[in-house]
Amino acid sequence: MSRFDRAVVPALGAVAAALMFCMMLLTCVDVVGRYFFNKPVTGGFELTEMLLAALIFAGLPLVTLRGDHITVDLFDAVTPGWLFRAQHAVATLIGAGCTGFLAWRLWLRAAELAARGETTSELGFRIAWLAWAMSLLMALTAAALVVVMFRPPRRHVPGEGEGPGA
Amino acid sequence: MIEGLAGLAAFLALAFLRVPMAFAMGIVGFFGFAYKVSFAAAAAMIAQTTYETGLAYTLSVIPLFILMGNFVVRARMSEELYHAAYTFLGHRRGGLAMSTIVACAGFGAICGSSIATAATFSKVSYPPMRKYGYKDVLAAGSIAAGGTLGILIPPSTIMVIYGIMTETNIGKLFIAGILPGLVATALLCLAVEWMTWRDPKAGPPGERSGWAARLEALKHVWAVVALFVLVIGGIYAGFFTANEGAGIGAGGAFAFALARRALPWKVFVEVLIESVRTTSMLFMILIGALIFANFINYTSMPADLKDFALRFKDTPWMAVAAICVIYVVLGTAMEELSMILLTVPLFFPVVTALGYDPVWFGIVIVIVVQIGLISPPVGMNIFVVKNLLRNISIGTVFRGVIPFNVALIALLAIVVAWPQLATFLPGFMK
Repeated sequence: MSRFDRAVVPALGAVAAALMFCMMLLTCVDVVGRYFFNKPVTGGFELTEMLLAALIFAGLPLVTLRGDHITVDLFDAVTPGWLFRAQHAVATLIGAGCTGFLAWRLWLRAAELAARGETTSELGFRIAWLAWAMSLLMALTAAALVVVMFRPPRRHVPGEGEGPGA
Repeated sequence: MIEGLAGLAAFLALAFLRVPMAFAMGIVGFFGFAYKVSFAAAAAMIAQTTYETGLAYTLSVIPLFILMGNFVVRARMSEELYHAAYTFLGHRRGGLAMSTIVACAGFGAICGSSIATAATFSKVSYPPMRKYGYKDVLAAGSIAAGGTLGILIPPSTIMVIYGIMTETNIGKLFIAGILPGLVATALLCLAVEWMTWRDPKAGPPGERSGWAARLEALKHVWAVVALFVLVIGGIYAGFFTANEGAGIGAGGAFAFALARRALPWKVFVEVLIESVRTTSMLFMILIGALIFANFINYTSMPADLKDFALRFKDTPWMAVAAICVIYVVLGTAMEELSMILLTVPLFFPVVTALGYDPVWFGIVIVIVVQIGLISPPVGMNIFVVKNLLRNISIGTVFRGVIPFNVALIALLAIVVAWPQLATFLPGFMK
């Protein structure tokens, strides 16, 4: 673990875990409240949305530092060492470029939301704060990719830390 | 058409350079959109897509079902399921492998992930199979194949993703998976039967259990039944939406894991973080795919494909058969999630234009994903089993999954030939 990991991973992990648990609790309380007490959580809908956005973006640097992005690794076993290192450098650089650019665009969007003073409909939360957080976490992901670029690449073992979808 | 194909080619080139899928799709989508419209519009589009996907209420179903699955895995419900299945089937030839399949089906009813199911049963059902002298081909094959029932029997991550991409009702998709899931379980057991008929030494019988033991074992699976009835029953009856069902399911699984003292603080936090990581990984690739689809929709490709398919208007099954063949072939080499994210936006309009039910097509997609997951050379379930059972060679797993692959292809043919199998139950929903 580098200094970057030590600074980022535990803190973001704790935040992510808390957000995930809150989201579960919120949904349960909302349903139970609606059926048994005839009183759903005020603003439950928009709270869920904000929790979702926050937890996805908080998870991104964590995924990146573990090198868990889904990649075509069909030829990992047969790629010569020099080519493998080159691929790693190019791929992470491209990734850093993408996420960096996206962080900047999200920042512009946040500024726009702030200028219009947009708030959520029920709770009146200033949505720009969330957009700023999304942008910063995306920038942190870009930074994480730069850190990963300087690490020796790991050849992927099929089946380890594997695909989420299926 | 040319532009669309060029985009796909560029994506493949980047992907094989080892650029993560999400970025590869995003980059091509961005530059393609910039080329078709303008750079400023493309820059606005990617920010918009990212922001809105993050804040989409319906997508909260994804982390919640993932969390439910992760709690269920820790709650050790798999062992009871296996034991119950064993008391009924263990004395038959190949009975332990059939028990694996049936227990996987039961586990699939509370867990939406094929990989988690295969990983769980590598630990639960391999040791007894080894003890009774089962050959590794049969043991590994049945676990890898049984795992795929995790996504066909509701809940299912793949159905959720398909539902989100095509705006199909996720609750209906879930219910549609039940009957094909039962047929799949039977077909996979038939594959076990066939393997042990060819080679009776591959799966010697275990001990016979009396009815008292069977009933006793059944009583222990009440938690699984309760969770399934609560979540899927609740969605079917319309008590709550799929999102709410996912939240309730996660809460229920959390309560069970807690009650069984399977959740020390460290494990609890790890489960939460693991679920967030999986969610982020999934959303990354989902956002990439949406950006890519935004570009593809600006090209003539979707319309061209539709025109082409409409030539088969009188024999629509031919178009569907062609799509199935394409998927089975792609599934051997491609990672399945990327495969459907990339192709469903292209095929979905074609299939619905031919008059097919979107819910039915969702089940078809799940089945081709299942086939892909156990198709050599690249099948995630094969890798998972190989990784957890280190003493088995990858070649053994490859040989072990082939009969099960045939069984799932038969399932695909059945569902294509009789769409009612998928559409019957959801027909009763509002």
